[in-house]
Amino acid sequence: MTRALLFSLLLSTAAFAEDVAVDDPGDGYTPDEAQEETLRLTGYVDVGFSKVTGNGSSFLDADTRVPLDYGNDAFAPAVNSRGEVASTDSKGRFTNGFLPRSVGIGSTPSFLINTTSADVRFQPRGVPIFLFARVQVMPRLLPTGDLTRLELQQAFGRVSPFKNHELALFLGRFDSVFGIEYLENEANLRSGITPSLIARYTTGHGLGAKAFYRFQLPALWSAVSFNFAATNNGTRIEALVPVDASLTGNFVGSGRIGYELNLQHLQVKLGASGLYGPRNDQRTPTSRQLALAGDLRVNAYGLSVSGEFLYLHDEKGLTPGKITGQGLGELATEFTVFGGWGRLGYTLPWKTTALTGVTFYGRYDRRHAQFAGFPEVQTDRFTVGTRVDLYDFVALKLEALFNRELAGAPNVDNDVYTSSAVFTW
Amino acid sequence: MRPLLPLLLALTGCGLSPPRSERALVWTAREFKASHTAAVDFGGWRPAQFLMLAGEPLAFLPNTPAAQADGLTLFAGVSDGVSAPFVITDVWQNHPQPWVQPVWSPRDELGKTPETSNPDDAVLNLFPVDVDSTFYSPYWQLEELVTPGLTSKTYRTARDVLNAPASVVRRHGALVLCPIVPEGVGLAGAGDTLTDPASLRALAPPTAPRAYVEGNIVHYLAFGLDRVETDGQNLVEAPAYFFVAQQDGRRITLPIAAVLPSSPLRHALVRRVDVDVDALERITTVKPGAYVPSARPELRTVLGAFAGPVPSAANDDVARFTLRVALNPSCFTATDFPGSCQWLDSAASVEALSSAVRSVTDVQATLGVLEFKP
Repeated sequence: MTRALLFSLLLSTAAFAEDVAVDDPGDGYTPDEAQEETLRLTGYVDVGFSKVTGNGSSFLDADTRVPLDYGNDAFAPAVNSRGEVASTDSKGRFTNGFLPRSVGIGSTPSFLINTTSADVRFQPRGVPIFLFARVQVMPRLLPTGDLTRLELQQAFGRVSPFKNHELALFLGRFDSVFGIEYLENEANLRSGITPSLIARYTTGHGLGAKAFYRFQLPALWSAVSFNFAATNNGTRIEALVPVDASLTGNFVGSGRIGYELNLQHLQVKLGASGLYGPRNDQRTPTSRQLALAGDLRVNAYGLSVSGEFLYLHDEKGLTPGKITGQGLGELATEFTVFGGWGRLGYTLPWKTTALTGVTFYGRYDRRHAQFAGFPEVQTDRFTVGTRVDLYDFVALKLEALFNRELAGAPNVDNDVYTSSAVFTW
Repeated sequence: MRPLLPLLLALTGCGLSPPRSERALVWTAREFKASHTAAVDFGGWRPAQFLMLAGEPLAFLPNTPAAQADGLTLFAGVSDGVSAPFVITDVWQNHPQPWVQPVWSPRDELGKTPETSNPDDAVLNLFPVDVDSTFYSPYWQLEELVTPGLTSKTYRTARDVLNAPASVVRRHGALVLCPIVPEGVGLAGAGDTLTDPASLRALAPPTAPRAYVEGNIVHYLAFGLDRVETDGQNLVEAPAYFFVAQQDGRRITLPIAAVLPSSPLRHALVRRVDVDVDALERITTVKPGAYVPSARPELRTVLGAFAGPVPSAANDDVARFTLRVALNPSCFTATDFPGSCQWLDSAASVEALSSAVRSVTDVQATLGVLEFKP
């Protein structure tokens, strides 16, 4: 009843809004350059309403194993596009730095300002330089008090040295180059609401240098792209691995090679990604991380199929301490994960001035993850949802997540019913 | 004499005082056995010191029949003047404080573990992790699962336990000391007999049950309840003093009675503190020595130069002082022995020495202190 009320409210709000042109997110790897003004301000507000079953976390009261976050998937009950969960309250039990950020609502249904995001873009006329910064505010009330966060999510300069070649060099903090899910990091770009079960490993922002190059093969209606980065941290989200400083002095190399076929009614994109370097939650460069991934996207006649699989291995940390974006843990354990997701979506083939898009989608996620010496935690998730776009600047989304623990972790009631209204300017 | 050679190397020449480590290191009985012959440092000891393989002569009793199975070495210890023989089950270096995992103990409706003569039908306890986990320690919080209709197949994994229905009553119990060991590893003794290497009195061995870890059978030694104290959040460690000396240009751990904390049965988690015998000699101008009865020449061979003077025959029957260190070993031959000896046989007596002779290391160990048979 409450969710229905929210949906009606959002619809009515959107109906009175002005028609504001927004950027085509395109491939999303970088914001589009300003075509007219040299300085532009853009952004969005993501307002959510969520309810999670159980206690809002993936933790059972009876589970006294340590660390608690090694034997469960704390990321499962995600409620928004940031991957934040309803609760990570361990009730005093020891955890060791494998936790998402929390919105702190537990099982209580609640409105949330998921994200308020403001972008500044600057491109001097006639100069192949582009500057971008994105600042986000996340108001949060956790059991420990007000933990509102202000985050400089991206800040980079980009140089495109050749007019006739699609080559761009970046320096600063920017999107991941690994896989495809980072393309939907922002709520206004994401088809659905919540990220997949493997997004935590692939969608983090990196601080360092990046190069993107794409060349077209017109005779084949195709293009091949290369996207490589050398960063402090790799591609894990900042809650797990610190971004703002290198702890080892060595960078993490990551990259993706992509192929795309662009026909009139059919678009196919394939990619292979890799990552190698020190795990940046230790101060020793000899403990390394390795990741490999493959991805596929097919779009035809409003139907879209996409998927990604991932293998990742962290070597054991050698020194005491584990440094994450949320604090200190005690030891960095050897870790292996294999997982992936597949999504099927369909966008209705008609639109009006007000109703600019209606998409239905479903996604299946699976994740097998193991900290050395602990049981392999096997989980999966079914996600279903719909997205309605109004006037090209409001997106209304409804989503349900059905999480299952298949092995290694106890069965826990942590399904999610969430909604999101994204207002873009 | 040949069998004594590796023993002597292990006990006298190879136990190094531990260099500080940047790495977080942990060694369990599995590593003790796997690296038994390796010349590597395990927190100031060599692996061969912790564990005797089947067929090897017993460490402090080289003339007795060889051990029939692999077993943890029995060390001589003393606490507040009382013999406290022990084994070392786990060693950590530069490591966070050990964690306490649950150990689940299934019980029937009567609160008892069902008995069976068929090992395959036995209801076993369950550990959530094995020794290959970063967060393994031999300390466990006992949790009884009173389960209607309990069978040997009810619980095999942590998931089974945590998915148990609400009809299962969970009762939290005491902390227990249960180091997981490789199959077949017990305590080093001749046959079924365990003896204190110092007093030669018979010891009560720990039980050696089996348990499940994620459906796999593991073996462990059950030293019993309340072997460690807590401050509510963490395990409390206590200092244990090991005597070290320079030998052939290296610091070695001497095979003489370590000084354990008071109430050693309740202080299994210890911090290794080295007591430098050479520095002690420089300060007191007298070389300390360990008491070895004249009737145990083989033990004198093991200790070499660190054995004190051969006691007079009249002082030869005070077995409980064997392997203890005296600051004035000349008292071993005195007529008022043992009253005239200045024993280092308590934490207080070691703490009373100059701080220059003691060095607190970054090594922690778990001691399985054994009780004497009545």
